[in-house]
Amino acid sequence: MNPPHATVAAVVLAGGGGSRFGGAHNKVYLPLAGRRVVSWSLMALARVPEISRIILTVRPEDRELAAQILDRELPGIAVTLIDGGDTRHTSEHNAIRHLEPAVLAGEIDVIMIHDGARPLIAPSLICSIIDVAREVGGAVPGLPATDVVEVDGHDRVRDRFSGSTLVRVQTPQAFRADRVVAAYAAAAADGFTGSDTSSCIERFTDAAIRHVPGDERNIKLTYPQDLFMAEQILAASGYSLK
Amino acid sequence: MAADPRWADSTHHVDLVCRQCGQSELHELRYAGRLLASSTCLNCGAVVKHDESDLRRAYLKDLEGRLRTKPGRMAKRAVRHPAAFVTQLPYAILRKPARLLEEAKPVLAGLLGAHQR
Repeated sequence: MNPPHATVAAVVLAGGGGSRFGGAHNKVYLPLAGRRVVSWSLMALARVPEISRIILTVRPEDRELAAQILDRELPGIAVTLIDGGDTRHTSEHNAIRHLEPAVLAGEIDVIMIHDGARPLIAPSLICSIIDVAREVGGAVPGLPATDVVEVDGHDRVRDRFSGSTLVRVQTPQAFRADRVVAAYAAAAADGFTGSDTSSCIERFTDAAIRHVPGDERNIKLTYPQDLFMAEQILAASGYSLK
Repeated sequence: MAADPRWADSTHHVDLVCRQCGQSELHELRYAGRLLASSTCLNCGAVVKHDESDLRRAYLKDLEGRLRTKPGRMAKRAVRHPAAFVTQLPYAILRKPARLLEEAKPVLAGLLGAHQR
C-alpha cells in the first residue's frame, strides 16, 4: 500500500514523430481556439487535484517554443520539460526514468501517459482512469469499435464483431507507478519497443488492465477535419470540458 | 525571452492525413485570428475550409473578445516579464496593424469574393 500522500504524475507526449518535410510544425503546437493544441490537455490535467506532477516530452528543437507556450498560456502551472526520443516508447521511458526516484520514494503511486495530439480530455475521464488504475493496476479508455468486420484472404467478409469485444483505444492511460517503472526497465533490458504504454505493461508485468469507457470528444488530431471539429467542440463546451 | 518565429504566424505547415488522397502529407493551415480558416493538402490540393459567412461572424466575435481582454492580458505579461514587456512593446505596437491585416486576409478574401459574385 502506498502512503496516503502518494499522488499521480502525468506525462504528455509531444516529442515523437516529426515531419518528413523541413519546416513543418509538430501538430501539438498548432493554434486551436486561442491556445496551442498541447495547452488544452495540460490545462485539463492541471485541474485534477490528485495530479501533482506534469511532464511534457518535447523534441529538442521544440524546447524553446514549448517553454514560451507554457509561459504565455499556462502561467502558474508547473510543467517539467523532458527531451523525447525517436519513438513513443523512448519518450515514455525518458519521462519514467525522470520520475523513478519519486516512485521509489512512494511519492507517486500512479503514472498517466497522454498523447499531446488529443487536446480534448475531460477531467472527469482523467479521474475515472486514475481510480481504476489504483484499484486494479491499469486503466485504458476506449470506445466500442462497432464498425469493424473481419475479412479473409480473398476480401470476403467473414464475420461481424459484436462490438463488445473490440474497442478503439484512447489516451490518457494510467498504471500503478511501480509496475510502469518495472516494465520499462525490463523492456530496456530486453530490447523491446512497445507500440503504446499498455503493450509494455502487459508484456512485462502481471498487472491487470481494465477498459474504461472513453469519450467521443477525445479525438486524436489526424485529419484536417479534426481541427475544425475540435474547435467546434471547445466552443460548444464554453472552452472547458467537464 | 525572445519570441519564437513560429509564434504569431497565421499560416502553419503540418503533416496531416488527407481524406482525398489518403496520404500523410504536408498541409497548409491558414488562420483568421484564433480561428482555423482553411486547410490545403500540398500533395493533392484538397481544401477544407470554414463556411465564409460563418467564419466572418466568428472572426468578428472573436476579435471583439480579444480586444476586450487585451488590456488584462497585457497587464499580466507586464507583471510577469516587465523588462521584456517594455522593450518589446514599441515593436509589437508597430507590427500590430500589419499582423491584423494578415490574419484578416481569409475573411477579407471571402468578402471580396462574395462582392464580385
